Amino acid sequence: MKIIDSYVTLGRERDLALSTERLLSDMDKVGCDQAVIFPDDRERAVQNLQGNERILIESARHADRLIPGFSVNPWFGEEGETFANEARNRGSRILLIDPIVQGFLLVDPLADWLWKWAEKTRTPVHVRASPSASSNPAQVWFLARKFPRVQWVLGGGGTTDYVYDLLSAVRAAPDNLWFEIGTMRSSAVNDLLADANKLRLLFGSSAPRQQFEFEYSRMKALVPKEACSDVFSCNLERLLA
Amino acid sequence: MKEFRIDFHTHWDAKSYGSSDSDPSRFLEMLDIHGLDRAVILPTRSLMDAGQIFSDNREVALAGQRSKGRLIPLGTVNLWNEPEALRETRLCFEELAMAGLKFHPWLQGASVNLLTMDKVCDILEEFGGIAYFHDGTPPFSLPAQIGLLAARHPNVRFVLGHCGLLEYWRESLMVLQNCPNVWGCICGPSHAAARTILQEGPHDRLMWGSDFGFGLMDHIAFRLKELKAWELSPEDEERLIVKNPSRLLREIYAGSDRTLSPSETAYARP
Repeated sequence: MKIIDSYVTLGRERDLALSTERLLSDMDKVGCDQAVIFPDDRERAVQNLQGNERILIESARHADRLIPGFSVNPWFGEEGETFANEARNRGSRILLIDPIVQGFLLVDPLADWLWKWAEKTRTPVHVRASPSASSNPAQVWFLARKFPRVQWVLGGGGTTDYVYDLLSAVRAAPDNLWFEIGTMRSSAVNDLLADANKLRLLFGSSAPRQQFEFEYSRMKALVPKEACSDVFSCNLERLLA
Repeated sequence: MKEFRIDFHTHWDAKSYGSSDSDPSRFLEMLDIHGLDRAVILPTRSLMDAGQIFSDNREVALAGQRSKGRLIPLGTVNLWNEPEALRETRLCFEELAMAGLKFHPWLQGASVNLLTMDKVCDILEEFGGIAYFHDGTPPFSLPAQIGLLAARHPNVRFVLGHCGLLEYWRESLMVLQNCPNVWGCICGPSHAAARTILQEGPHDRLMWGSDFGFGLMDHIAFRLKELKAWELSPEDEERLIVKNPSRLLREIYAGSDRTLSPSETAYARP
């Protein structure tokens, strides 16, 4: 079975520090074929251009293993659009948004220009929907309805205390809403699996915050065998196609 | 004195284990399977339904007694009803031999910094009980909010039951570094965050917990596996699971002039 990790941060500092060599070694240990890699917190917040460039360089060195993601802070406005175009034109595949790090309310119209850009360029958007008030599953659900031609990934599953919102979003999910299920509590994953369209679920390790091997083996034990190839690779391939 | 391997964060809800009332046998089996000697048991149903506080506190206390000292019970009270909260806080110590009180402020819908909470903390100080909190969730359960309360009650021992979960672990670390009466139970932060808390947090006030108790889903196995991901030294693991929680429990029960329950007797000074 092919395995693609949909959420890894190839960071330089703090709890997101991870070298390319260590990532590849960790991937090899569990037979993970590919990983989508993203810039770290500082690069998401204030160094978009540098971070996106670094990720492109690292992924180009291992083009068969690493898929470049990128990030743009909506506060950059017009300048941010040039960052987004630069990344996308050079091969970055998916836009990462992290409101608690980037300092904005997810549903603030401040960011509408970026969602319109994503629609125009057919770029999927991965949103970290964490237990903060500025980014949560219900907000992602509304954005997915407001921008139905954008493909949205709800990342992090609202872990821990927005899990009821997450399950509610799953039950009424529009077709353009995908769910990255890494870091979710095992009991919540079980509830999610009972209700969700398995063709919308993505495996993500959240490495290096979470240990790669730990998350992979945990999810492998939870996801029903018949859904594994979809959750661990095919769904992401369809999203990025 | 013998020291024990202690899970410092579990929940008691007999029905979800398929047990009747306060029978602890199935719960104790889970501890045995995982090589644990003791567990702090927190209420469950009464955190969601204040109407069940009176009965739930007594069920949790009885489970503690029937466990012959292996389960250390904590109760809870309803902060929105001050007379009842203060009366029940006293009863938790005078009649139920609880080790302290647990609060889940966002679930219970009451701010940590309500004036009634200060009065409850005064009683906790009188009896030497701990104030145990769910933490890591806005708007009522952030570590700094609990730290603010702890700073007003320096003689009460506080426990952050999660160390900030995934998003607020840095805030939890800040509180642990600045409030010598706050202890941290690492249960829920990312692996990298746990490693940082262990490196930079107060070595003598960190503990481990599984959050086991919502049905028989094996949170204990999951959380024990996480210890490997934290890359702990054997000494650190000993400190987290054995030494620190044992010391906290000994401190709670030291000097108590009450009649000790079996669970208390296990920790009283020789």
